[in-house]
Amino acid sequence: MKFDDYKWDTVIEAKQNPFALNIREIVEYKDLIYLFVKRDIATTYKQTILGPLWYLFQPIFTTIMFMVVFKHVAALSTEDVPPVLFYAIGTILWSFFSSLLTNQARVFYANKDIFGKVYFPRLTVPISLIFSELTKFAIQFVLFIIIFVVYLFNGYGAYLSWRLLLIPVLMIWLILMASGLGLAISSITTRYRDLAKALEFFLAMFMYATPVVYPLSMVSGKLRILFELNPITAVLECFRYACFGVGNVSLSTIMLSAGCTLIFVSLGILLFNKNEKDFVDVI
Amino acid sequence: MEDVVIKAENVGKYYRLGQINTGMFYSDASSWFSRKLGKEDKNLKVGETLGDKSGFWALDDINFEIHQGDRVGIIGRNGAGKSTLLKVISKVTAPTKGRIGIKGNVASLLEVGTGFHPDMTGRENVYLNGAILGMKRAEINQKMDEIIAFSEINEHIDTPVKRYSSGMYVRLAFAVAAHLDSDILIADEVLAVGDAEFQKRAIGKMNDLSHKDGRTVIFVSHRMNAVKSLCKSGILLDKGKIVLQDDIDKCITRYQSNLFDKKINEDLSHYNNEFFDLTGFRLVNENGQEIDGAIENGDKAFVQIELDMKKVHNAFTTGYAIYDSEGTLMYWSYQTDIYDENNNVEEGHNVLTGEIPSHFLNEGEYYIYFSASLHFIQWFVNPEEDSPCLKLSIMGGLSESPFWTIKRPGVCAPLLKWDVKNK
Repeated sequence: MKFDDYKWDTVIEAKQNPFALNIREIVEYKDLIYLFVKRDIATTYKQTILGPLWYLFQPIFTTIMFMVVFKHVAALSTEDVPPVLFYAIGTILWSFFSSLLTNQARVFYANKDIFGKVYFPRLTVPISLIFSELTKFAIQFVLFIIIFVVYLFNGYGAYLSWRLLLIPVLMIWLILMASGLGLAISSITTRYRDLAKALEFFLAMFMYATPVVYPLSMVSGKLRILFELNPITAVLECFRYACFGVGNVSLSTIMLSAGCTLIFVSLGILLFNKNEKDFVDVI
Repeated sequence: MEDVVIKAENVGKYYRLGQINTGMFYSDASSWFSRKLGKEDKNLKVGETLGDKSGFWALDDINFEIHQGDRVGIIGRNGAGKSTLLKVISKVTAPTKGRIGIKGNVASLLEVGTGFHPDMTGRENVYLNGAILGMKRAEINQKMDEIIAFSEINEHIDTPVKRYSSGMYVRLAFAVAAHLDSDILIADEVLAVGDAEFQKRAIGKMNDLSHKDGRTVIFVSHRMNAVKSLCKSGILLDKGKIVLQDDIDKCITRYQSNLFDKKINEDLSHYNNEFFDLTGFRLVNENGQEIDGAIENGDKAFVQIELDMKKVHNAFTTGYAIYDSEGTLMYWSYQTDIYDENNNVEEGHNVLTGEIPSHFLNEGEYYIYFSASLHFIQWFVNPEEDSPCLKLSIMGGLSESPFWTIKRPGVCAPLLKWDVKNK
């Protein structure tokens, strides 16, 4: 009998569709995704004094730092938003973005041992990274909501509206952008490891080129165009709009950012698929 | 046949040799440009071009069929492509060409304990490891008690695994793997772990899985006894090609007859290094004359090593390892085994002669590998890897005694004194 006459459950071939996403297989491994997330969260803070409180420490102290440096020393505008809220959401979002991006960019290198030993859908790891980061984000966001509510009771006049419904959409947007870009980079970090370090450094710098600690409205002139080309700008401005009703981002900036996200995601999947087949032999 | 569960067709796997890239983007880019421009690549050695030396086929044109319930042993020398084949079948790495069809789900135990996290408890790791191997949580819940019982971890199951002894760790890991429900089980040397007692149980478990449950098993091991007891048919690989596909006994016989052939009488300068040149490695008799390697049980034979030392180091140790025809290590012997100040290796020419005890090894064929290292610091020539080899055949029965002119069972056949008292 010829090869094609059999009914195979799996066929392993040299060439595969570069955009293939085997969703069914990933769903079958959902328990594994859950366990990866649980492992990431549980093991980060085992044998530490503060445990999961570290999740809150980082945004609290960064916010205080920003208050001192950018509000009191540099006296930057926060567009009628109480500075605490402005900086808190800025740092929470930025750390979500940069930490998701760097983790995705390291995904092959960090998992080379298990990837080299046993097969499971590789995409479960990037997906679990998203959920791990989301968990961290959720905890920090609850802190943000608490401060927000405290401000509301103390006379901060932000009115709540349908805009809040934008938040989940914006989070998905941010996730797609960070993961797509991260996975695209991950295929290069398997070859050049210093790239992961460079990325961390670059992101730390890039925060200041993104309206995180100041609103986009403060940037004007030719520089403004550069800022609008930055795909993260739109997400951050929209997020502030969703929470506080401030921000002035143009539709074209939003479209541009959405376009970039689409490119990042396609590139990410393409390179990830290409890489997962044989990176074991490269690393 | 209708019941084919794995079929490989023209499978090949190509590896690039040495470093995949120079590790730095600048040099890679310059190599790439040189190639494009047709110039000499300055990152390659002089005279080297990409294509001729840059890779090899770890698997080459592999075709086979495995049927439902088969127990197949894959054997071959180190580097024959066994592990690569398993990796391709278990989807860890993709083939370069060809295709493999698989019916049913595959569980591969390429290494036990994959994904164990030291900070998590035994129980948590069972869940994680099980899920990595493809088990559902409900399945693991159902089998948890069985797994704990099999691993004998018992009350320590809720302790982080970093506090486990290495034996406990391995037992737990194997227990998870052994309780996988899969149609096809792929195992690579997983049994070469744990103590003898556990190994016995592990082989027993594997036997149960294949014999009782009728599971298809593909097994790779260097231990011919394990392969023999577990497998019915075999695939013998050499240099990435299938040499023989037959029942396991025939494969093993063929493997063993080919096993030691190649390295005998090879060029010794291959082993030269910064510390020494190996100028001689031979068998000699009592008078120091070279012998061809066939001796009588009672003859004295010596291993002679000639070294031109370029550097001296006080941890320098050299000697030999001797294996029987099944590849079982008999013993190691070193010039430093008995401490003697006059026995130091010095700069310049050195001749070391080590005795092979007479009336010690049984009749049969033995293979002697050269060994040299800085003790606990660095290997120069590792007898378990790449090392020159001498063949020694010991003929004749046990002794001159008229009772024992034929081969005695057992690995050793020592002549030992008996005291008999008569009243």
